Parts: sequence; C-alpha cells; structure tokens
Amino acid sequence: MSTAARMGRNLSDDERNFPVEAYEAHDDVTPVGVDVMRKKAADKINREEWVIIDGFGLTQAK
Amino acid sequence: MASDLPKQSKWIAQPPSAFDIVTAYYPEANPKGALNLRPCLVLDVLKGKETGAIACRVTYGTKNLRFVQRKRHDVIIQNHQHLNQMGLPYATRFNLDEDCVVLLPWDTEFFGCWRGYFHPKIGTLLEKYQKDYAFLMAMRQAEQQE
Repeated sequence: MSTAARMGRNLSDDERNFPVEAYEAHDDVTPVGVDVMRKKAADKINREEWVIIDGFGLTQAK
Repeated sequence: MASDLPKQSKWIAQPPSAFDIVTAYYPEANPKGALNLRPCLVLDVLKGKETGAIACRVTYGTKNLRFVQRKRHDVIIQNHQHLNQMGLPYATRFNLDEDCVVLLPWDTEFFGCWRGYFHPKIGTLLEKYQKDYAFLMAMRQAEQQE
C-alpha cells in the first residue's frame, strides 16, 4: 500500500515521491497529439452548449 | 449507489478550478496510441447548459522546454522551489498555441489520478505564472491584430 493510501490523503511536498508513471510522458505536445484527444471528446463536447464558470476565457479553443 | 463507485471516481464530483494543474491522458508515440497521464493546466472550467456537465479547457504540459524558442509564447516553469510548490515532478512547459489547447469533458475517459493520488489535481499555478499567462495571451492577441 502506498504511503499516500496509508495516510488517506495527498502527500505534502516533503513527503511526496512521484509515482513512476509521472515520468513516462516523454513526447512533446503537438497539434496532432492534441487533435487525437479533441476527436475523442468531440461527441460529448458538441452535444451541448458550454458556459464558462471559472477562468478568464482568453482562448476559445475547442 | 454512490458507495459502490470505485474510490477514484469520487473525484468527478469535485471539478478543478481555473489554473489548477491536473493529470490528463495524452497519446504517446511509444507504444503508439498509448494514453499516458501527464500534467496539464486548466485554463477555463465550463458547464453544460442542458445537462450541467463539467468540461475543462486545458493545455498539456511537456518536459521539452525549448526555452529559447518558446519563452515568449508559453508558460515555462523551471524553478525547483516553484515546481515543488505546484506539485510538478519536472520542469514543464505549457503550450498556449490555440491548436494545442483543447476542451475535454471532466470524466474518467480524459482525466485520471497518478498512483497514490485521490484526485487528478496535483497543484495550482502560482500567481506569478498566472500573471505570465495573462501577459502572454495579451501579447498573442496583440500580434493577431497586427
């Protein structure tokens, strides 16, 4: 059982040992990669109208 | 019944705030198509008018800083103390190009928790970098208008 699970909370900065998976994101962020997720989300996103409830709305990207 | 839900899914009822840093799935090249969790910056939180569902406009983080080329375009965090304060495991660049920002439903298909975490949120962007973000977006808009 991980330390976090034993303690029943997220660890503080001093206690935190990042899991191995935190270091497995090697690729750069590209429009092609982001587009994969955009297409996955398209069905749910296009289903309705969205209103900003938090944030400045400085970009309208979908 | 709510108590039957896997423990990790309870975080769906706690959407993030703007400028939270959360872990979201992104496709990796090796193995091709694999989705790995990586830090991303929440720029906006949106609510569906009809269903009340939550979606987050996010930009993914990358360890490829390309500092010289991107320092005037993206939010780049390298300071070790700041990384610790924001829960980031490594120096990170958040790409603000419009084609690298995406609106994702706040659900388990697009967001997830690192092992040992109970919520995708790993930290919050410090105020200094929030100001950097606002400045960078103002510069981008000014460039577009030229």
